[in-house]
Amino acid sequence: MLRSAFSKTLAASRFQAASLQGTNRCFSVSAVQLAKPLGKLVPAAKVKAKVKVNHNKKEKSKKSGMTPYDFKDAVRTLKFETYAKDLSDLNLSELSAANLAELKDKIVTFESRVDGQIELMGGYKKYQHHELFKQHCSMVTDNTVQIHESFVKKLDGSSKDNRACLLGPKGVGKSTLLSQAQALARSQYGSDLVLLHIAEPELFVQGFSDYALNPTLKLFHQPMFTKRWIKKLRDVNEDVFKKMPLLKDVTFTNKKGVHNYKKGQNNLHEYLVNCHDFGIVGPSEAFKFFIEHLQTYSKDFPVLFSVDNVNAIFEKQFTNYFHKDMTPIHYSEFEIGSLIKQLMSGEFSFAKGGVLLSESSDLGQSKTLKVGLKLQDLDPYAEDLDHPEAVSMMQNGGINTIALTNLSKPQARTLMEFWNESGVLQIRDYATKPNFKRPEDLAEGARIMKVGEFVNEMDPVEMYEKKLEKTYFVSGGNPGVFLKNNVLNY
Amino acid sequence: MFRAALSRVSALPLRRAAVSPLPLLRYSSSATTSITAQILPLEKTTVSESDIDEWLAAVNALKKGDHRPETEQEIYLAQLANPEPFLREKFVPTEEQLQEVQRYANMKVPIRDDPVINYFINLIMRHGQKSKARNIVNRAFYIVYLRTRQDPVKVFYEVLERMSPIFAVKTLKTGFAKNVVIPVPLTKRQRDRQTILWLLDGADKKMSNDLSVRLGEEIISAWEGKSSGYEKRAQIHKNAIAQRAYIRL
Repeated sequence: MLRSAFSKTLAASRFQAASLQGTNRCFSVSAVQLAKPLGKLVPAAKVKAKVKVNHNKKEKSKKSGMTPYDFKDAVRTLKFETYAKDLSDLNLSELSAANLAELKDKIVTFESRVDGQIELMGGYKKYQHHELFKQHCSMVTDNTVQIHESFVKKLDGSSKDNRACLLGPKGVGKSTLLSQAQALARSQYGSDLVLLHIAEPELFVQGFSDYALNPTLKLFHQPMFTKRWIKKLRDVNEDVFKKMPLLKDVTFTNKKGVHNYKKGQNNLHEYLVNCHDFGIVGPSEAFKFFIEHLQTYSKDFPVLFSVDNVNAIFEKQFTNYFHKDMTPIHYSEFEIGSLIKQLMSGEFSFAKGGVLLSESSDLGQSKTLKVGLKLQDLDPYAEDLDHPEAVSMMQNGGINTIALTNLSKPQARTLMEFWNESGVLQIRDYATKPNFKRPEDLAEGARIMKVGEFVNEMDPVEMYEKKLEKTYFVSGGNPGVFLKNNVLNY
Repeated sequence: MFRAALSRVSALPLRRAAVSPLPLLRYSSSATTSITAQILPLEKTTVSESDIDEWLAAVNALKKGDHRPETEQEIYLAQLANPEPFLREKFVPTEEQLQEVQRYANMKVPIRDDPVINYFINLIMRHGQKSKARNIVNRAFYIVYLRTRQDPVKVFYEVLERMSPIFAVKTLKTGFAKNVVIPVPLTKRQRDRQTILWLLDGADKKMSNDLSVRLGEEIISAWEGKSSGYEKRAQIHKNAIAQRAYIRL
């Protein structure tokens, strides 16, 4: 009772006070909106909250996992080869030109030094499934013998007369053959061979790299691309570059100061290590200087220049780079592009060496390349064709084409035996319908199988044969498809 | 009808058995003999009018029924119409065929796809794009193989066996104030489904943008006993055990 009376008086007093204050505010000069609300009794305008809080929003959970990459990069970067079975008990031979006839139709590895060099140059590509094995291995096929006969043996002659392009469908082994050709050449000449390899020419065509006009050479220079390429070459050809004394005096500057290299005293490797002009934006003759040395020394040290995915260059008529006036730049206006063009046409050549090209089936077909390789007639009215480019390729006798062949059945069998021995092949029995018979209805000793039970192999030899027949038939002997059908199909 | 014909045939005299078996007739355009002579296999190179007459007479005689074939033509025609040799003909398997039968005697009928893997693919499939789903599973298994160096199908089966719940709990509405929670046993397919869904849940928490990589990683962690699915399974079992009083047998 007392409590209610007290609350009533309190409320009445508040009301009076509020009304009084309200009247006062009418005479105030400040805006009504700015006035402070007075307790609950003052009818104040609702102020909307400016910041909306989404209560349904979930907190970001920390993502776990081995890798952020997609499949093709994940299997390459996760170093799965470390879990693979050791192949030392298989006694695999190393690929060499000397005993190539004995190695025919056998699985071979690369010599460890050459293996590292090929890896550094980017010879091992995605989807070649190297992560399955402890070492990089390949098979010596008819294609290997052919490239040895028709290309590697001719490295003693001029590169103008030794130009070849590998052709074939996806998975036939063009990039692998390129690596084999490099390994064969290395085994034939030892360290007295210069390997120049461009694994992904699309990198300097697709417009991702920086570029600037080099006024000295009047060609476009791509500092990041060139410097990385030179760094790889420097490591791969360290021995041979050390045998090449400089042919003229040269002065250059790097972070450590000014360097004066004397003719005959310093070698090309020293120059490539210390000269950082390949990665600068500005006038530089470093690239020209380097190529001139290679050309001069090619009398003693043959040069194997190889370009994989060569059709990436000719996919479009121009690159994705632009001049100042927004006209597109042709690939031959770049330093490296110009070198490729001159070597392909035979306009520029090494006294000893060869030019080996390989097309990629992942990229589009290039009409320019087809016409340049004389696989297609030159149509003067064709629009999607780089006429001068195609004509230049046909100069000096043109480029030979090497069409790759598929595996024969015995070769496929050898390959499958290798997979089986290296533990890659999974032989399992076929799935059967679940058995719904009651135990008493089954014959004595018959095994009762659960629904969806994993069935162990009953006759592994027979299943192996069946798998060989099936996958060989499906692939038609294409090594890539054959491998995919065996290890990437469950 | 058939039985009557059979009895009629068996009533025929045994004399017919003496006739040599019928040669296989095939029209040959290069043969010098006429077509009629080829059809009439009575060792005649030419067919005269009298032969035709005899032939027609034999046909007419046999048409009447209850007529015992006597002439050469009649016996030949009766043999044509006689199904007895075909009925008597029995298939005699060769040795090779018998061996083949022995070889396949205890074998089960193979099916195209592994049913469990197929179910897994179907659960991943969206908008009917099965080949895409199959590709994801193939790649995930490839990663599982690379990491474990064991048959990925075997690893997957092992995960299913270890992680799948035995029970699920269902709420039964009694119609009164209190609803009852009942533990229900699951079939193999239901168990597999639950595990696969947990695996997919776990895969979503991995960082790769590629489902095949995420799924491969999740199967590996489940195989190593680290998946969150095990906790879910334990929770379900705990709940089911607490409600064991309501089990209906």
